[in-house]
Amino acid sequence: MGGVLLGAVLAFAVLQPIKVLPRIRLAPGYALHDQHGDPLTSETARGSITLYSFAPLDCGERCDDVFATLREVRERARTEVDLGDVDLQLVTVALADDPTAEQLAAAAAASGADGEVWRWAGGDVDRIRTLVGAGFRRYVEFAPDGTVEFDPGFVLVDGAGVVRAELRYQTESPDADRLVRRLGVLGDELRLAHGPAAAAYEAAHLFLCYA
Amino acid sequence: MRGAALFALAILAGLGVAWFGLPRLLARDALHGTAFPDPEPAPALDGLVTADGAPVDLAADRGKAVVLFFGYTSCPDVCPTSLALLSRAIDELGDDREDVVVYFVSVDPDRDTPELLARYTSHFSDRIVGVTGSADAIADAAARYGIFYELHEPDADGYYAVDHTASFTGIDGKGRLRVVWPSEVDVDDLASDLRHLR
Repeated sequence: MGGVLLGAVLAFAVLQPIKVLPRIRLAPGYALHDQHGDPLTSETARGSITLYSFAPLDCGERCDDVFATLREVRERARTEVDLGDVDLQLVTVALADDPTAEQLAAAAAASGADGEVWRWAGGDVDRIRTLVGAGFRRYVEFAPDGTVEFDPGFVLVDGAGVVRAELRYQTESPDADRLVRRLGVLGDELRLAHGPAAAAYEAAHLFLCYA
Repeated sequence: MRGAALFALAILAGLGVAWFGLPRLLARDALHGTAFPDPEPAPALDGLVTADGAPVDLAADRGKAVVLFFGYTSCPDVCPTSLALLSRAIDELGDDREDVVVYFVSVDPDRDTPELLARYTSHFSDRIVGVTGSADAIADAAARYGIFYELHEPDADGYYAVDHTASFTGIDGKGRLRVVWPSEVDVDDLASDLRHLR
């Protein structure tokens, strides 16, 4: 019995029949507002899969590829990813000091954010600095002359408020492909990890069967 | 030839157990909330103090299961319910209850004075410790632990509610953030996890 059990453990650990995204850490809590002037908080995001990105209001050409990636992910997620009855939200955190709803709306319009699936959110600059730097662990620096240095990466958070993927911007493979693939893996877990299969998915987490 | 067949059979048996048996076996020992298999050190609670004025030092709690719960004493429903649940789970531990400490972090420091916090938590368990601090220190701790809270506008009588995340955060005896439980976690499961976390 012990041998079979050991074999089973080895088989699961080596063959990794189920792939999951790691539970990296807790996503930060926050209370921001969006381009409609509505509150947007970590609690309102709970229950949804949320893809976070970070950009100044007047990002210009620096963010063209980032926004193109987000538009592509939004479209491809509709047709290529089955998240069951869970919503996908895209949130771009504005790297700015307490932007107005109008300023957020202008940035949203320039980036192609529709205001429903994809929203822009902003708040007090000290909170944003803490949220992005300490919470999401993305580099951001607000210079005295008003310019912003930042790391245009992506953070994927599940409905339980857990960071499940962090992607650096433009590595060896296209960002949209990597994001859609990770959304697919997360979608599989959301749809299938119920009943006995939930234990199998927990085992996949225990054995670090990461996609 | 016979050896190869036996080897293949053993692999198939292992796979069968892996698929159907092992996950159930592992699940018996798995934590019941959202567990972090590769946990990080729990963020420090800088600037927060207990109701008797002592700084909250998670490093001093090594060897104990630590639970964080953010709430406030004027909370009409989820806070007393949650603290009662935690109290019942602690009581289930019997002699091991000393190996658990719950920090009830107030998200309403203006109303929750240290004296009020101490009196409030004493209604539930001596293992539940009220914690407060400056608004900035509480906001920082809350953000680091994924906790949202927001104060409402006061009504005509001056009462205001505070919306807040109602989950429990579990830190193990090595000071690592291991698990987040929903506030409706089963009390037996929570007690089992607390034993596991020490």
